[in-house]
Amino acid sequence: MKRRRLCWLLLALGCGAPTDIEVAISGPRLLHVFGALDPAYGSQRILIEATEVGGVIGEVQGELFEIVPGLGEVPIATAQVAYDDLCGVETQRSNLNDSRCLYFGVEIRAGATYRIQIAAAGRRSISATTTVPIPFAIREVAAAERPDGSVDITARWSRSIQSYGYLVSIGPVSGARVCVDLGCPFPWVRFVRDTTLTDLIPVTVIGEYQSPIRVAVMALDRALYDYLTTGSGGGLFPIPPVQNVIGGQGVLGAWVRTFAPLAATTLSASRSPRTAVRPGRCRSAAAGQFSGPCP
Amino acid sequence: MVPLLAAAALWAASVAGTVVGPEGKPVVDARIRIEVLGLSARTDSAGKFRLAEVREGRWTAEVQAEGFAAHRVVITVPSRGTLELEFELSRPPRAESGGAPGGEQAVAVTVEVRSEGGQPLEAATVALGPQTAVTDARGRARLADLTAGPAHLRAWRVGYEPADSAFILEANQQPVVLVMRMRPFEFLPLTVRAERPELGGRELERALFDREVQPGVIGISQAELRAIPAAGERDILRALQAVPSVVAVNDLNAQLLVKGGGPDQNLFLLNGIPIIAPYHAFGLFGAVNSDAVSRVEFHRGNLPARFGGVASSVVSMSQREGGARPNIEAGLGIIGARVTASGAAKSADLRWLVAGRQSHLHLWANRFFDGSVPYRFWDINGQIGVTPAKGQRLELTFFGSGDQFRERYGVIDEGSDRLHSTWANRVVGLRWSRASRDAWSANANLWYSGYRNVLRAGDSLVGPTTSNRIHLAGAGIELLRRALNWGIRTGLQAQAGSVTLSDDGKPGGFFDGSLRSTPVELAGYLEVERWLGPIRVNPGVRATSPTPGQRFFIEPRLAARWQLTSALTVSAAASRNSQLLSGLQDERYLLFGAPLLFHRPADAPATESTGGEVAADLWTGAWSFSASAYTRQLRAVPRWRPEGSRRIDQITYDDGSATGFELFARRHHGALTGWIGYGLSAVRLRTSPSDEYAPVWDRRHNFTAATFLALPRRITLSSRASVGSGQPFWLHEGDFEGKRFDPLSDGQVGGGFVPGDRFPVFASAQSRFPLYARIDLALSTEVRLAGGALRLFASVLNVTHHPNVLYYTQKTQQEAGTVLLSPVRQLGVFPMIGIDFVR
Repeated sequence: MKRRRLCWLLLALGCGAPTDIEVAISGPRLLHVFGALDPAYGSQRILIEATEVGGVIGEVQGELFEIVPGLGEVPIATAQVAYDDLCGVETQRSNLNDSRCLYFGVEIRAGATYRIQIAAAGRRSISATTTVPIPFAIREVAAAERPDGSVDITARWSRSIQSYGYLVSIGPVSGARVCVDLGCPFPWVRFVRDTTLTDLIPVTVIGEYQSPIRVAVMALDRALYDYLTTGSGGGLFPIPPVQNVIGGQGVLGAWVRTFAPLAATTLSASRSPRTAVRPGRCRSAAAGQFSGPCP
Repeated sequence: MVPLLAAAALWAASVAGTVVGPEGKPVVDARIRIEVLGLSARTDSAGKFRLAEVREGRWTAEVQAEGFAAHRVVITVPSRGTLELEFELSRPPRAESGGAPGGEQAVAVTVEVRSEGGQPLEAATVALGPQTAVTDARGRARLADLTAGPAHLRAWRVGYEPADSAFILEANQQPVVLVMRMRPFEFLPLTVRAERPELGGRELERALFDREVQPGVIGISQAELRAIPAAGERDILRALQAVPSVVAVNDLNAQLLVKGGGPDQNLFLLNGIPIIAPYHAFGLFGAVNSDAVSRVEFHRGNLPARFGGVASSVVSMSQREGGARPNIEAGLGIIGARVTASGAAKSADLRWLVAGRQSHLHLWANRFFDGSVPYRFWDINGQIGVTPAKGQRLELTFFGSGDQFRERYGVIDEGSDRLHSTWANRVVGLRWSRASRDAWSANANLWYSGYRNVLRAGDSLVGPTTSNRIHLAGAGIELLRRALNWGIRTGLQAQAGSVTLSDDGKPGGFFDGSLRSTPVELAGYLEVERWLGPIRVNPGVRATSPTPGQRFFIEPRLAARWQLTSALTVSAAASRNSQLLSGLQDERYLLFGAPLLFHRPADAPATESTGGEVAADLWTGAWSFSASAYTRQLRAVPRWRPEGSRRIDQITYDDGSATGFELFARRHHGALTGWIGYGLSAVRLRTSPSDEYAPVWDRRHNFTAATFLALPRRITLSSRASVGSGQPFWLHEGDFEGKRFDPLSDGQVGGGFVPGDRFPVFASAQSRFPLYARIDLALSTEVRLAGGALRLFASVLNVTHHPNVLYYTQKTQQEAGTVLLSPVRQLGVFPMIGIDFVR
């Protein structure tokens, strides 16, 4: 009898499979917002996404205010809500969460402060504020190519008033990224607080481009800089990035962008004169080394 | 508090033999019994018997058979092997003659053993000539088959002065009463010479119970460590998780959560030297090789004044010393291989032991599974001890461990595609001790303990590097004195070093900024022990002067035990414990990976635990029982929950409380030993007066059991069961998709934003996982070889395949207002096999 009871106990402890549970959400649903205001554009686009998978964003209203000293908040535009990928030109999204693109047909001013207010049916209203950095200029880009093809780069630019930090990247003047053999590594992107950058561009990055390369320097406001430089993903212990959206998730930031061509001095054994960085190197899968231009 | 374990029977000897009558004929169905061990057997038709798994020691064996006089003899059982005996029984003396077999008159005497207060003393051993017996619950024992005449009766019992009585033993002897005086148990730390066998489970448990007045101290012997089913590697920390009032937050984490305390509120000592983070495999099991440890003393909750800098528990591990002869042992499991070598040099009574362990999974796993195992570990324990003079001992202890995880998560073998995590412990210490019974005894030590943890994502130019480097050095001196009914222990401890937790400032790091401190701490403590009749009082105080700028800590410690009867005691204790070295963690998660530790900044409060406990303990022959209740007020428990900011200096501190109750029963003797326990523990922490939450280790109800069944042919079946409440979790309401910049996502404008990592959105409300249940089984056997033995073992974890939840992910929305959460399982059925060679 005792043995039978023990068997029942063991069965009870072992039976079943992990089951899904349905949980009632007590509070209103949240939205995730991502927007980077850019004075170079005649319109501003802000992506909003539902934070629950499978949820649907209902009716949405959005309004953009400029905070004018002495006058307070001045409404300057009401959002047109789009279902398509209007935002996808600069801000891509996955299709896991329902999303909308808020389109504000208004040009913004560098140095001004803006606040966005968004209300969606059944969701908490959210708002966020940002100040647009002042445009700046790249003063110098010097590059020297090492024998292995990697490039030492030094860049200097003027300070952008109202900015908190800078994002520096390289990319092709035209055309796309070409990655061979083993695919594309992470793009070369640097965040700095100062107006100078000295760094090394690995040969794997240089080899991706099929056209002349240019350097892009973006001046970011504090909110966008913090959002892009923080956060760690992971299944068990993800740390969200720093955000500035009140009542929801995400960031409303602003940036201004400046470009300059990249040319390098070759530091090979022959000490050849200054040449442009060679594009289109390919990786030899066998040797694991870069062996020259793509065929 | 009561004991742990009892697998002392696991690696024991056998007693076999024959029982014959006066004519040399076999006696059938004679009963052979070793009462104190709870062992008995009967003879077969050939008069043969066998008692299996008899622990080493001197025991009284009694043989009884119908028609024969009872026969008792004291036997000495070796550590292993078979002790062959032959008993020749005699016919009982005829009643009318009253003569002994030898012609002399056989007489008997009843002995009553009492305490000074008149209470009967159970479990006292009385001896008169060759006969011995153990007193029962009435304090009585009967010695028979004695010869009349002058007699010397002696009684002894742990915790009492031996008592003697000389008298003339007569035919009609009246009962003899012996009064025993209480004697504080040896106040010195237990000194264990590595001559095997080490203290068995019951002996260790009882010795700790007698030595420490504080409730909640548990001892685990090496045999017990070997017997408990293991996860991957046999492990001290996993064995401690099987004790009531200790919970594990999940199957993948060997960290100890003791009586409502956090995972960083435990102090690990190896021969008195702190080990800062003794974990392997991202916390899956401990870093100290159990082969090198003779015993573990586990102080839970209330701590004696000699322990400081920790809020919840102390795990004090004692390393084995080498034996008198050179010896090599080895072991092989599915994850690691172990070798232990030891020996001695007679000239200086020098004994040494070195034990090493190395993982080998990374060498072969890719032949059976997809992908390689990018992880490896090693550890080494060592000890050299010499006796420079009589009564003195000098010991050098060292320990080192290292872990390395190097994963390439990108498609190109580029530096930016690597995650590189390494962590290591380094410990070395020198301890001198002088023991004296009649004068002051002394201990002095000098030690260094280091910890390094580096986590780097990407190459060194781009990727963030998080590092945690701790260097601590210390020295201490301690004086002890014990007398008949009092004892005193006092000491000074000094500690200095540096603790650095830093991030190099590159984007994407675990946190921003760094915390660096150079703690200098001087502490003094005093413990006094006094017997007041049946009450034993143990007040103490500890004073710590930490780094200049922080306040002076005074920590009172008080414990008392009332010996109600020889078997039943009631204890109470109260203490305040402070802690300055803490882990960077969020109570919503327990991090995988090596701990990130920081020393409290000068302007931050120390974590404090203030509370008390009452306990009742009952010891019977084969069983011990314990019931206890505790309450603790927790103050300034650090919490780092990065949301709005990741700056390392924005750690917040929560207050709270922990309350619990514990029942514990353990069987020490017989073929089936083990324990069963239940713990109720409720922990609440507050981020503000109105915002209270339960940390993930608030497991509430937790039932745990461990059993060890000795079967014939040296087979042992072990089990470990744990059933309890699911852990609390924050409801996962959804996710959002972070964005990252890609310079090539829109070539015309210099780049744009693309989907990045996904981050969860938590509600403020909490819920609980479903019932947690896990049963582990292990089977071991021993095959004797020339010069040693092969010990084969196999275990299966979660043998019932119970689907315990590790965490939930959001699956989809069912309808408005609800979300569907999908569970991720913890450990499934997890088998393990291994083999040891022992000598």
